[in-house]
Amino acid sequence: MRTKTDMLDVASRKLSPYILLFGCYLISYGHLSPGGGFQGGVVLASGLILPALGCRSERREDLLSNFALSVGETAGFVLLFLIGVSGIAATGYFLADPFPETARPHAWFIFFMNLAIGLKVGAGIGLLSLLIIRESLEPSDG
Amino acid sequence: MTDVFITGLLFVVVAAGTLSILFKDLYVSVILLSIFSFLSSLLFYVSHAPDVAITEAAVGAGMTTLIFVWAVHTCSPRPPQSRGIKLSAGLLIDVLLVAAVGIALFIFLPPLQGTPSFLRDFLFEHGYKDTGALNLVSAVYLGYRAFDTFGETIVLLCAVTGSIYFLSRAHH
Repeated sequence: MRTKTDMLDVASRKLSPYILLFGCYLISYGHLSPGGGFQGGVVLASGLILPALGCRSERREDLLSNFALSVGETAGFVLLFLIGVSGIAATGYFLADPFPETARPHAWFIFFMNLAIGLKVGAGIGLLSLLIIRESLEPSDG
Repeated sequence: MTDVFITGLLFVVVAAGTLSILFKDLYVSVILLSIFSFLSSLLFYVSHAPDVAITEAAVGAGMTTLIFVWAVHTCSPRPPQSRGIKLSAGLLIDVLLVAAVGIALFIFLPPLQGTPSFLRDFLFEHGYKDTGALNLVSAVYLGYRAFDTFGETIVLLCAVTGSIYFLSRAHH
């Protein structure tokens, strides 16, 4: 029985852009207000999987591909590693702040770290939940 | 006012946790745990820890509920015979014992006199200057202990990789 109600539509489709926006806000303002890469990433992931929960199972793969999410997660980790290595290049220590002392009050380092962690956590947890949803809603294959 | 609010919230949190143990239907338990997490996040917010509150709401009330629902769905295909509260003598004794220990700890532990303030003062003085982050929680976990955070992301990477491997094996 697949009926589409207004409640399902609002909860799964219309709410999702706002959740994604809130996740982006949490990530990009993590150095100024409560939040950060981890929290924002989880919020992003929940914004990603809500439409996947609401749509038909055969359309789920079109909406969000596993491959894109795994690329996102790996890209986040590589970005984080590159930030760490740039610390070695600038100061000689892994994960040290590569920006000069004069630029310190702008928190570029924290901002980029938040971006990388947000990308990584959002894609990773989104991928995990999506796999779990597929597994539990399509048990006939296994 | 805030004290009354916090105390009431704490009672509801304890009630939700206890009921989630007592209910026989596991779906009800999962929803009760979700309520437990949500009220805990409210509690964190009232106690001036908004970062923890956001994490608790997103992870505890959101992701954990999804994973628990999946686990219950996968592991118990048949719904339980009765949906009510399961009460056995042993369980009741367990709950009473835990409650007694909690009350004893609450009564007999001396209140903390003067929390250590060295770290807090250090952060207030140097946090913004060292990292440039106004949010001192960010300053700690991305500036002072960035190595820890790096390790945590590796743990998450391993967890996701392992889950993908096992879930895809279970699928074929």
